[in-house]
Amino acid sequence: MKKEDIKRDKIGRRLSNLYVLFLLGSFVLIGRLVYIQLFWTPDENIVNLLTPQSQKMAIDPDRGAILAEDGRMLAMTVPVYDIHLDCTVKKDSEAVWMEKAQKLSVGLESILKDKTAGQYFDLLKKGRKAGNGYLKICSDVDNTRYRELCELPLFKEGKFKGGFIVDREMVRVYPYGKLARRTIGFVRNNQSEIKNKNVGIEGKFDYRLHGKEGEQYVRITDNNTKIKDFKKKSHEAEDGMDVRTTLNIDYQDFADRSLRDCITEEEDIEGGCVVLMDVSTGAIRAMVNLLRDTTSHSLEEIQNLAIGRRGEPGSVFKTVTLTSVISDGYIDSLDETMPTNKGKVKNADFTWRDEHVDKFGNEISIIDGFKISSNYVFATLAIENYSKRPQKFVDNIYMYKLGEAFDFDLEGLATPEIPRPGTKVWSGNTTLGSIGFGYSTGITPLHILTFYNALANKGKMMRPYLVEDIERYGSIIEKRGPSVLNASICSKAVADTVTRALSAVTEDGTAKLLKSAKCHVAGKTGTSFAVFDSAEASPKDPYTDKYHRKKYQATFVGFFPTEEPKYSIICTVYSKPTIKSFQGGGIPAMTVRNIVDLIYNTDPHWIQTIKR
Amino acid sequence: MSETKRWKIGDLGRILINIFKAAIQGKLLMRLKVDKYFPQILYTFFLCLIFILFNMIVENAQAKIESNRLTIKELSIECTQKEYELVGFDRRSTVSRMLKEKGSKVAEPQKPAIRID
Repeated sequence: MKKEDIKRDKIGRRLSNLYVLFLLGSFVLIGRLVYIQLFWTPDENIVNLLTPQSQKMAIDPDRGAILAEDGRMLAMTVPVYDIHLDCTVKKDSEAVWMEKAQKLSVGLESILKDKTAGQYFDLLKKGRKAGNGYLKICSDVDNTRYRELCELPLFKEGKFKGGFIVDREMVRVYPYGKLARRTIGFVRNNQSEIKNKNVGIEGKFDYRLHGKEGEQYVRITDNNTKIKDFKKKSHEAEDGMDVRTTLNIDYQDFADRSLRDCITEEEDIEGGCVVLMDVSTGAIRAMVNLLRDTTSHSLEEIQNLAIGRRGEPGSVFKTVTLTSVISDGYIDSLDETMPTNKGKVKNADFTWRDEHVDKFGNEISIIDGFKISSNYVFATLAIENYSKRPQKFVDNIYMYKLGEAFDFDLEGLATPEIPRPGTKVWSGNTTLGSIGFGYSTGITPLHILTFYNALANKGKMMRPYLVEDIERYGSIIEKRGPSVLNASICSKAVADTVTRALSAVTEDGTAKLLKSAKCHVAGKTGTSFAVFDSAEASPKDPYTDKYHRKKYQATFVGFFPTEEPKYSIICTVYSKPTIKSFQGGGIPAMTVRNIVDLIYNTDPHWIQTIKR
Repeated sequence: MSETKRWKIGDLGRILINIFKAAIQGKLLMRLKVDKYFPQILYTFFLCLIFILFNMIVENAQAKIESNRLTIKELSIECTQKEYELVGFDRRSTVSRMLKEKGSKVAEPQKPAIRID
């Protein structure tokens, strides 16, 4: 054998051995592969660590906004931040941490302004010494300040290197502060003990505003970033819709300011409400509800008096009686007269005498009785015309929608109380007469305004509403808008006649304060007394307490301009038990006059056009 | 007449021994004539490579989308915050008060506006 052949043979053998070695190795690998795939059960902890996991994440929807009629934001959602610091980071470089903490303290002082830099540095040093991993720095910080904080030493190094811990929470904010707060409303936490959890538009339209929660699976990539895991089913969150209201925030401001100006200094006034409504549509342009806080004595929007407080309306109800008797043909003209009978109502058990009619001699006209708001005249009108058919009068009241809680855009519209003939509370002519001048009933200011609005609208009664439409990203999803409650509560002629009577009240009657308003206002004043509890009431008179004090409910309701009504308005104020007198022609009329003047100066309806 | 060949257990053993021998000699793939499908095998490997590459590109794109989404969300929050701060100044009585504080003569109008046609 040649040397070369021997050498080649050796190389061949070595290569063959190597090949066999690899082959055996491959058999082992294949065997191991089969074993691992089919028979081996790994440790769960190791599996969790090595397998890229999909995490299920809940996605919160963005809550929709509440908008004014012109699109300005009334309620929106913004984040607030709670900032904490992990003082245990950078264990190996104490001096560096201290230097950064000192600079951080200076920054915190300039941004938060609630402590000095020294106080902050002491706080940080203590946290460091105690090994505090969750030291509270500040809470409820808004987004602007949060961004500034992110640029401070330690904070800008992030969570792991700098120990910057941020907890974010989305909160509801109201840019116009207390304006229309009760109307805009809120949603209380489910854990709250207060039963009334859904208040105002926020509460009633929570199902629209809230949106739908979503969920998705995310996985961590090799680059340590979280991405959506498309292998698992997920659904996106559906953001809440926006609710566009009918509120005009400028008019709301006028009404709020006017009512506050008139009642703030008068400590005996418990509170009051104002509602401004668009005559032709029933859209509520302003709704103010102010109630004096029992502890701070300041006026706050803490109860919706306009829809929730039911009381005897007083003389503003005389317009209902007048409309009823004219519609039923019992009187043809406002100038018709009736005997004054020394102010004593016939065929009823009234203990009082209406001395206001004395100055008219033996006869008083209907319009004069209306102007001076004579209880005698209106009790007599009701009794003389409806004593044989009291149900007809009550039916008319129901037809005017003063006996039912119609569908409204807020929860809590109180159902009026109207006594029915034949029931326990009905005492014949006495009850009939009482209803005639606005007692023995329980009605909310909104119901009264709805009736007056119908008169201004020539008999067509519109449903009061607060929500114009539901929108998503500026597109209308659901149009709500105006709707009719009663197409004709009276004829146009009757509405005109009653309007003439209402004009007389502001021209020469109990609401003379409005004579000097910048445009003609037609309306009616009303004053009534609330009944005291039996424990507090005087034994002789349920409307007076033991100290001869009374609780007043004073109202002015009307519409303007009289010639072509654009807005209807009601203002009701409620007094605490007092010996003072609060009449509808006083504070309520003054409030309405201020509002009318402000609206007259700014509303496009009154813009005058001149030719160049 | 051709006789039908019957398979026996022993044949299986022989096949396995042949396979083993061929494997030892490094001729297994040649015996199976895999060399005929070499381009297809290469193509399969190429597809696998492309698949992995595309997967990585998609992952990167997704990560970028997520990051952009977060940025948009942050910007939207910032926009809402600014809007909230500015809307607060829009209140009529606030404007009046601020004008008064600044000594401005501008105040609420005392009569309706006049449009000149």
